[in-house]
Amino acid sequence: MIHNPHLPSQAHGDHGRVKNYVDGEFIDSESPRQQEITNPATRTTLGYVPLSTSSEVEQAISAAQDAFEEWRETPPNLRVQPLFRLKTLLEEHYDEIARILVQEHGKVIDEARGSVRRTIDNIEFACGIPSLLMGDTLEDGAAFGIDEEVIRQPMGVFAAVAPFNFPAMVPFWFWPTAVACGNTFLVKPSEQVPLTQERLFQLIDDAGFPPGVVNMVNGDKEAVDAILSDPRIQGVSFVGSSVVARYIYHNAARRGKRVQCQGAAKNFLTIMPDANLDAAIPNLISSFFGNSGQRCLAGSVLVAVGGVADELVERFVDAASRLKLGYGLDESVHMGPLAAERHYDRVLRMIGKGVAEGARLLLDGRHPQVPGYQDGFFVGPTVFDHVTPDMSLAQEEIFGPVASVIRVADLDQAIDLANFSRYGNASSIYTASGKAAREYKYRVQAGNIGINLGVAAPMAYFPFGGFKDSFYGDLHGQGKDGVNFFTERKVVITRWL
Amino acid sequence: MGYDFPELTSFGTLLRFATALEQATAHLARSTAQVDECAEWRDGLLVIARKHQKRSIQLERMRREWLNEVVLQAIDGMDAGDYVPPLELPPGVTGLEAMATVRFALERGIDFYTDAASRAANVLVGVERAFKRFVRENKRLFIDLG
Repeated sequence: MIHNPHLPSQAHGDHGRVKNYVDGEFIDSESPRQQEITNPATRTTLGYVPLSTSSEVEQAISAAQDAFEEWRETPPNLRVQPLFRLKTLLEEHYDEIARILVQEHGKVIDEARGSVRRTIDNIEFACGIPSLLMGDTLEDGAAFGIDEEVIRQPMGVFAAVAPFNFPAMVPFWFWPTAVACGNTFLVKPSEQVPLTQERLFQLIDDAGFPPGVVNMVNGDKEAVDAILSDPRIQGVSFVGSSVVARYIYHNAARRGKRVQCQGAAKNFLTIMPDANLDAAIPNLISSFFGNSGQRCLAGSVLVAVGGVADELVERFVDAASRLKLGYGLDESVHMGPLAAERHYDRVLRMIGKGVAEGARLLLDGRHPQVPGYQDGFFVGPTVFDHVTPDMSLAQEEIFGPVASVIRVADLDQAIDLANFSRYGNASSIYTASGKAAREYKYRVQAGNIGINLGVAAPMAYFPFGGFKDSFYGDLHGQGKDGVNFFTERKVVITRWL
Repeated sequence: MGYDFPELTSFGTLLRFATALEQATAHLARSTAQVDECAEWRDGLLVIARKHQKRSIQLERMRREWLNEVVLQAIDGMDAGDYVPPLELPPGVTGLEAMATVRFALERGIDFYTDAASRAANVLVGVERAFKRFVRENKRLFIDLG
């Protein structure tokens, strides 16, 4: 068999210190503070990210503010031309971006490719902005001879604060639409995984946006606070933990900014007795353990309804135990490591807590054997059975490859269980019954519902956001919600005398 | 020539394997068309080569444009070794032996796409349809070779 797994020796080399991108130039941060970027599979150092100062953020906002007037006057059909060019560039560099993603985050290569595709999807959506930005006009809409219309206008400088779990995709949920609408933008990538964004910004530079239209500053809380406190920032988009989501929501909203903050998740996947388990099991496995459980749409609690429990658990554990762990550049690997040591420690603590609280550990993923990568932050698939709603496993976001099985008697109990959670990002039901599926869709309080599908990820043209503590704000990311978030609607009433 | 035949562990690897299978079969058909004793089948062999080359491009597009987290899932029960086609004609091969090698490669494709289509059925119906079409086309190409 001929097989080229792209071994680590062929991997991307030392990136040095990541640069910021401000006013169309890559510049070195002057901050003395920096953070190491680590390959989570090998624990080798990939480079360093500067933790930029608040004054460097202010410079970037100034560049964006200066670029705004000219950019908003650029006709929409011309504003999307750099986006078309960027799409072409991303197609050309598709695998390269995916490979950088694997190295700094730990995803397996197909997951990385999939997220690059989602990145491109959002550019494509934004390319349609001339149609999406059109307003409405009604002749004689106000009175005899008096017309009324609504037009959409850009607002100024927006910013996004990105999470570590999707280093390429998440900033693209926001900035292409914002910029196509005529705004200018500042991206702050996750300081854990800045390399993908740095490479993407090289392509953004190649695509030929005018200087200052899209900017990037690396950093941590100091940079975020500078964004939140600057009056020139019109709105902030955030994806990450609920604690930080609440902080950003509060501090941005009290200063009059628009805010959309996507927080944590605890997603309940319900399996009815009539579910087709042959089809469901591989899909469930992908939901719980794909991206090593580090996605806000990942399954977390497996709710077994009625008599399906024993067979479901046996088959689920069997399939999970056969997943292959390893370095994501190896095409045959199913699961990579967790993205960072701090997160790895937390997931191990949560597993220990589950054991201490009395859940039955059927599959223990702690300290797995991963030949060649024993130093990596690997946690294998972990399955708990007989979890109860009061346990931490049922309530707290773990964000790792940990499945908690709760057994219930009927659909009503399953729905009550999902709705009892403080989070409401996603939930799924596996069933052959249209009635049960409809009931689930109707009653479950979550922003994304899957029917016989474990990762209910909205496409770029649909809104993406959760309910309850999974989302703070009103307009979700992506789709028409994104267009509304990034524009002001102005009503004009006209009478010619 | 080097081809990347991955282990068949996930839905994504099915498409990567299929792409390599098509490239290898196209190369084999082109090589066979150069064998003097195969002159009478040359047109048919070049049709096979073009068809498989075109499919490899189509499969690469499918992999890049259709796969996302909704459909990334593990598969099992398929051993890549059962489907890898011959990669080169053996040295000093006769015309009949070369033709048999191409037919064997087409059969490998039929076997692979038949088994892979059943795995794809519950994941992405577009891939299932494409694989089933490739099975039908390979059977037709096999018959046309005589």
